[in-house]
Amino acid sequence: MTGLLSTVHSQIDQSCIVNRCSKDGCSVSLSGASSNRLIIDCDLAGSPFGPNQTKCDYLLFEEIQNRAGRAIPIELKSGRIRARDVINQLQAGAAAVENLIPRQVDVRLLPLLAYGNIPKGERAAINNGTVRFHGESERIRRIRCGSPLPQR
Amino acid sequence: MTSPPANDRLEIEVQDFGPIVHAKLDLRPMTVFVGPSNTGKSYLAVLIYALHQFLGGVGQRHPGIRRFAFWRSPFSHTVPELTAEIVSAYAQLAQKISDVSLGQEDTSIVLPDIIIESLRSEFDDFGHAMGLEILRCFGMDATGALIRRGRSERAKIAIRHRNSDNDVALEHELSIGPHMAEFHGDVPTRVHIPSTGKDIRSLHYDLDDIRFHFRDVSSVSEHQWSGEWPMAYLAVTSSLIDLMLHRMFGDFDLRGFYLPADRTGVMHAHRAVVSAMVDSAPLVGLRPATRTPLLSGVLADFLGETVRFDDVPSPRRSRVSRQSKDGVATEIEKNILHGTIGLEQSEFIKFPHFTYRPDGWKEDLPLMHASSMVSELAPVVLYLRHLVQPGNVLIIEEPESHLHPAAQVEFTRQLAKLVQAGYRVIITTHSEWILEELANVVQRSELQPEELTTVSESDAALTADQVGVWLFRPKRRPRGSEVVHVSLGDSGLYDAGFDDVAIALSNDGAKIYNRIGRNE
Repeated sequence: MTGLLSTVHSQIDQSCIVNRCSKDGCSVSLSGASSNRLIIDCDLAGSPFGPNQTKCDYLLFEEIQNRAGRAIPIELKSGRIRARDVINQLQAGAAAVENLIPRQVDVRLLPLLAYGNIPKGERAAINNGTVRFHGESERIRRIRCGSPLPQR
Repeated sequence: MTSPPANDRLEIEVQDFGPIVHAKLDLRPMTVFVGPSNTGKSYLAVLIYALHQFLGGVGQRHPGIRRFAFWRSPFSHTVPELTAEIVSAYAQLAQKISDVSLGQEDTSIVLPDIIIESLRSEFDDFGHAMGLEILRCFGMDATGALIRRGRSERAKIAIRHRNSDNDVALEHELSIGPHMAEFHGDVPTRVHIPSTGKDIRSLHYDLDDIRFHFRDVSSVSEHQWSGEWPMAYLAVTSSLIDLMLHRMFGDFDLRGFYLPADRTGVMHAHRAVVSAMVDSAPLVGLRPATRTPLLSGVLADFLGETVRFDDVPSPRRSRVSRQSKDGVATEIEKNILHGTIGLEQSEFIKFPHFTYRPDGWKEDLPLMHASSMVSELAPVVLYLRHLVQPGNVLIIEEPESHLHPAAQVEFTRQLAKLVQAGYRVIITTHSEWILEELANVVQRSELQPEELTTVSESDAALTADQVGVWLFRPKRRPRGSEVVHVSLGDSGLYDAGFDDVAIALSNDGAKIYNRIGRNE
């Protein structure tokens, strides 16, 4: 474990570290993900979030050889989706990443929504929604439940 | 809300037909075909139309002609031998029908074996005639063109109908080879007898006729044997087959109408087409025959209907009031077209032409000068107003064409109301708007009465049983397409794969946006 992952590891309780992203009938496939990774289940005790706090489902950190690391707040939705809630949950994830990783560490944020299906109106709101990270706006990436992480 | 009896189920299964490797679906009052292009949506829709035309269309277009006459070869010699046994069987049947009529309610009665046997032989030419009608609807001239390309040697079409009063489904199969089609079917052992109506009175009369004229078979004259017996047999048999077709094929015995994807162009060019037909009419017989450009049957039928509306009103009565009984047609005019569709007959030629009058205008526009949206929906309005009746099947290819999303949503609601009124609807679509509104239509039916007051368009509601969404998707091995049922998901939507396109588009946009953001 090197820079990015050890930084995160040192700040959280080990009990919230998991090895898969799956909740309520929706999951993210980790095939193709870097083996140097760390996943936090944000619902478990020891995560950076309090029990009643707005939060995303998972925070996934990756170190990719010769490239900057990635921090991926992940929200899983198998049922109905409200875009505003999703944006707030992923924004909470981005804020947690900001608190866990010093600004000088080179990391890219990739807010990710995995879902079953989405009405057009909510889709438009997700498309237009951004998450703020270190003063910059990041658009939300979308995948279908069961799909692998985006490569870039 | 109108819906078929709970146990009445009509299923169609096709194999190696056109681009379709395999499809098995039950036809609901509202049936929707979605999926990528070239996967066979229209192919299956045209097949369904052809079956309606073959099994229901001819009888209803030409009430004087028995549907059975449509396929039975005039040279057929399948009239059974006149025996005391067969006369006795018809006499028994006449008595049973008398009992039913006295009972004043519909019922079904078991047919004597000897009659079932003779009815079975009447289906010998059925497959050939059905194959010809399918070819006509596709505009093809050889059955081999209907078979999926590849290693397939035959295409198969199975129809299964389970009557509400019978747990056993009757199954029929049309096997299509390179040069001909063969039919193998279950002939029912009982026939539905309505307690009243012209058909049953006619059958009863014909059966009585046999009982009276042929009661002593040994004294039948040569004239009766060769002339009257075949006539009497055919009269009874054609009536029995008409009564049996619904039990065999369910709602396929109802009339169907097809609005092809090309309808906008046809409506725009309608005057030119009609003028060409009128101009060439006086030359028939004076000049050598030329090969008529081939049209598919669905397009030819559509063109034919547009020049042959049965009840063309006189010019003064052409503009139908919005308060008239044709609710959905009027709602489409009011909520989508924002104007009315007119149908006028020229003083010089007996063909109609179509007009559009926007709300607030005092003059009509020829349809060719109206927007594509108007030409798209004008045939729907005209068909509903002049041709299609409750119980009929209306097939509309890509109703979203030329329609703004708001109009697509409103049109979907009107289709739901049409189904509520007892029409059956089949659409092919690429529209996510239509599918999403259809999901809302189904979910409205799950609301409690007090909850309905809080949603818009609460009357546009259909139960999940009334709606069938079928996804056509490409298949690699064997090459072609397959058809799967799509249920309403937990998200309250039908997942037809549209979102995969949106995801790729959105993620591309996000990547571009995020990169631009960092470079600023």
